[in-house]
Amino acid sequence: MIAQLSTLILDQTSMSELDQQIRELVIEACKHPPGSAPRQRNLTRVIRMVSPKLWRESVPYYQDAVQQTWVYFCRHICGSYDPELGSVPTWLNAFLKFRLRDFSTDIKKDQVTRVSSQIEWDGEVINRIETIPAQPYTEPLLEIVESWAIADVTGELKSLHIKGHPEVNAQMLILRRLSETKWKDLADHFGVGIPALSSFYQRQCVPRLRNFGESEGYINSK
Amino acid sequence: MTQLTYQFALPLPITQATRQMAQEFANQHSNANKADQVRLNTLAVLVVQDYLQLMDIPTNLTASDSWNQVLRLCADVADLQVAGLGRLECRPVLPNQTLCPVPPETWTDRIGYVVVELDEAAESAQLLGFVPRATTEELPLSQLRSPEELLDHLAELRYPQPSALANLSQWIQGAIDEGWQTLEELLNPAQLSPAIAFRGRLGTQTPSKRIDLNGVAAVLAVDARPLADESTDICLQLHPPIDGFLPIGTRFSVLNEVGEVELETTATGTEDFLEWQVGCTSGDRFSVQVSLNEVHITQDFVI
Repeated sequence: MIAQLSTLILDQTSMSELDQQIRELVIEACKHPPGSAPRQRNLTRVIRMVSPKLWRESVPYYQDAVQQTWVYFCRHICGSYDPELGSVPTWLNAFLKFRLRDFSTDIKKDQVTRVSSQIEWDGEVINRIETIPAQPYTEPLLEIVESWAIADVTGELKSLHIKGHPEVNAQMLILRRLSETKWKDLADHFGVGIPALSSFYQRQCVPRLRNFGESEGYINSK
Repeated sequence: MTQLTYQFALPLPITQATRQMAQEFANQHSNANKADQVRLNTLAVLVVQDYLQLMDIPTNLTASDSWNQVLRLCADVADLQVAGLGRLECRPVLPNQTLCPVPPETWTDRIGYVVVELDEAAESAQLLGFVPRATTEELPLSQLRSPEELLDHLAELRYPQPSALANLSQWIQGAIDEGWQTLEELLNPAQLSPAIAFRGRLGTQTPSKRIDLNGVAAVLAVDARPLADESTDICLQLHPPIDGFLPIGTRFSVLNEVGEVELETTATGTEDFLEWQVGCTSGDRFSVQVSLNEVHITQDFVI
């Protein structure tokens, strides 16, 4: 009986030690302005320490709820958190549980009006996106970039080459990299070191490919 | 669950939006290996972006090469453009890897390399750490520095401490001081070519540093080389960072050991860059000062 009791007390002590450490990190973080390195460092430490203590649920939106919790934490810890209300982990878990409940409610609403991205099949939840079979896919962009490089309308790609190695030109390198030739194989074949090859690729080929992508509208939005 | 635990690994979530974007990009490729590469790279980039958002560090995804479909096809890139600083490479690893592959096409034009462990089964990630530079195809995870040091590194790039003493004799031996980047990292290609062509003095790897003049970021490039008579010849150039000119009135000065101005020139708003060339002997100290209105930034040098 006594042995059990002392174990209980020990646990509580170590719990509050952690809470105390976290509290101190928060106090330190809040001494510095948002976006400053000391604040960022201390908030990062708290995230690392609190993560193992987060409430867990096995639902598809769990990670989203955690991200929202961290966003809330970083934005409001120096304003809305009142130490009287409990430890930081307790405060965050309360927020997390509310977010999880909101997600759950939203999903139930969605299921009424449209098909969700989740299918339940024999009791196993399957992500609908992943079950779309991989079709034999022709990759038009590959052919487009290849054609562009081969055409080399201005002759620029063929004329740019590594000093002393006219056969290692931008056009050749782009085409080889498109067909997934390894750097090591290129280096061995041409007798040029990988750093020289990759540096040439980054300085001469990448900017031209980048411009091609931009001008042809291949930048994704987000 | 990783067997190898890293003391400073930072657990981070992988959101549904992140997974969907990664799969969408992966679906653009018919080659299964390429699709896998793109999916993991995209996951890593977005996990890092979410973390930087928590830290109030602005990023620009659409300016990242990883968001350019042509470049995803033509290179193994996982960069994240950090607003105002440059490209942070976000390399994915799977649980239990001890090495992180770093593709040669990412060895330059990067402000750092972050390693992100992806546990797709658990739908979670860990930011294992970072390194500021990479020049080998395999990075041992044991060499990683903590995420907190990444934050310091980004802060240092944003607000370089110019007063740290630069030891030019050590530079000549290849040991460049912390806080200096390369000329090609800080200038755009349109500025780089004329800068290098001018008297053939500077190169893409010339140590360079951002000088912040109240929102205007100039670039100081310093090339030191030993001469036959054991003195050191130093070329100092001050560039504007983007296709533009140094603000009119920007003063570029060389000060002696006691802080007196020995050489000074003022930008008229039409120069591509300003330059000073000085000769020194071992033990000499001097400073370079860049001033605009009330702001003075000083960089100290010793031979």
